[in-house]
Amino acid sequence: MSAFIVKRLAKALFTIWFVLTLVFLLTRLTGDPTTWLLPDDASATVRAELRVSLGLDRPIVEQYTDYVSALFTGDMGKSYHYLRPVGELFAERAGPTLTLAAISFALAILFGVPIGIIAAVNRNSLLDRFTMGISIAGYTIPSFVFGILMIFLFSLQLRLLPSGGMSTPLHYIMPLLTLTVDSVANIARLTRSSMLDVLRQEYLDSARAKGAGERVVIYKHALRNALIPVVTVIGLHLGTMIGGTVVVETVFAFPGIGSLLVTAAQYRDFPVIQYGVMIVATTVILVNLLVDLSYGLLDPRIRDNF
Amino acid sequence: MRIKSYSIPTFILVLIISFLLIVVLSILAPVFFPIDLGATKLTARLLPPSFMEGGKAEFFLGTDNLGRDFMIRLFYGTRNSLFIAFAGLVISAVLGTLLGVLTGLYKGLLDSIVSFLVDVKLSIPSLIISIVCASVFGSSKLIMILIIGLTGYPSFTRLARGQTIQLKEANFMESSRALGASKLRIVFEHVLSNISSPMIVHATMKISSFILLESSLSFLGLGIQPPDVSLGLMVSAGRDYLISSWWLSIIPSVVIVLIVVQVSMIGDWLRDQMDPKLKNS
Repeated sequence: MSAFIVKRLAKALFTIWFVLTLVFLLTRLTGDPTTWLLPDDASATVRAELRVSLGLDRPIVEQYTDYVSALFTGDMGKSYHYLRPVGELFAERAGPTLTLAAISFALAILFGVPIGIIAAVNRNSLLDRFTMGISIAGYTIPSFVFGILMIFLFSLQLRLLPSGGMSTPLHYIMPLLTLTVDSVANIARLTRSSMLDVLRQEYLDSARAKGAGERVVIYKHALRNALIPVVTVIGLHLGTMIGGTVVVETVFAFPGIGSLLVTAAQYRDFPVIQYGVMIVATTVILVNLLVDLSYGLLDPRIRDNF
Repeated sequence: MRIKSYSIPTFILVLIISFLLIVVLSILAPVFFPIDLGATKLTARLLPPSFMEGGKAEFFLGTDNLGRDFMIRLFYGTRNSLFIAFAGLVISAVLGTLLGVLTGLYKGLLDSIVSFLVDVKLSIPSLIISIVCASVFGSSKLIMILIIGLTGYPSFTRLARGQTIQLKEANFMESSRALGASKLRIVFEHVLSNISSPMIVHATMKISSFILLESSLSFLGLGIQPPDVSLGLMVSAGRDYLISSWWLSIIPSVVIVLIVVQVSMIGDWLRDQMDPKLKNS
């Protein structure tokens, strides 16, 4: 087991390093940032000063080592656009985004998994058709469309909810709904199909033959096996959800990390982009590492083979 | 794929025909409506659709905030969105299938590199990759096509690799090798022809996610730039007029959903035809 953990950890760290280096190289490909940060008629001295102040005058290798060591020191340099330390910008905006993502992630699992199970057990019932209908809507309606429809309905027509910002808990309702609907749909659909696969298997009949009640068969014997692919996808889904917060924050003018990244991309604010990608990639990779390690809890056979 | 013509249910047939209609209309948009997308007519700003109060017959779906015919823009926007999604699809399908077949047939270093790259890709959300690319390379149609192509290939690679590994065990592959068939011949005549059906089904199912990615990027302002137009950009531009002229955002939204629903349902149906075991799952 511990050899497996070490191997997976090493691979995760290597992947993080690879992503960081790739982003560093990409952002250095485009030439001198002062050409788009300053007006065309700026003098050479002004350009040189800006380059020094942004640390772009140093050798590229030095910039790279600084950039990698920032992983541990947290000092990611100054934003080109806001001209403030990048760490500060992220610290200000991390709270709202984390709240949004964490609640949404929890809701997605809390609703998605049970809905999927109920739909699978009562296959082809009205409930099954209804939940699957909703889930098709969930993955065919893009989140920005869903968000705008909600603003139109709840903010402009019914005047129930604020359309943007984040000053009160009410401001969280529509962003949360928008972010969660798609995830609930995804997880419910997957749980349902995984559960259906397992429900067909013969070992459940032998459990029944041995006198286990239907409840025990479904929730103890079937569910544990059905959950393995679900857990994998929930891990991968975290990435999709982070992408989702970017869109949702833009729709609802929610001042979080997602909207920061969009602004950074528009202004080619590379330090912010680099830091953002680092946070996202590290989070997703570490969560997926945890997911891999959790298989052992779900299936003793995997645990023994570690 | 052994789909007999008479086995297509009417409902699916309607979906296919209506989707093809959208495709043809958007391809032919410049022929029917040869206009300059940047041209504005400020005397006719924000007119409602002709069937609503205050609408004019000359503008069927009304006009936008710069007085441009909304229906024509809708055709051009659909055209751009579909073009980018399809071109991205071709790149990701060809690249992904090729890598998948090669790594499936010949394990080794290439296989390790490709599977590492697939892992890397899966650890960063497509939208974040697109944001990085848009900020580095700027935004243009070509960049968007490349972004979609390069973020979309891993699922094709995985599928093609799995299918190829299964095929490798088949008797006819062994006979073909024994008869001295060249590597190229094996790839093109045996592998590609045998895995084409699942790949086509997968491609159909991927179109909708590419359309969604394109429209999301354009919505965020990182895709198609004005005065050019795409469905996502239209939704975004109409946002400021939700109170007075709601159709500017809602109509393109409905068009996006309509296209995605059509394509997904056609894809689902194709998959069920291919593999009845998957039905209802």
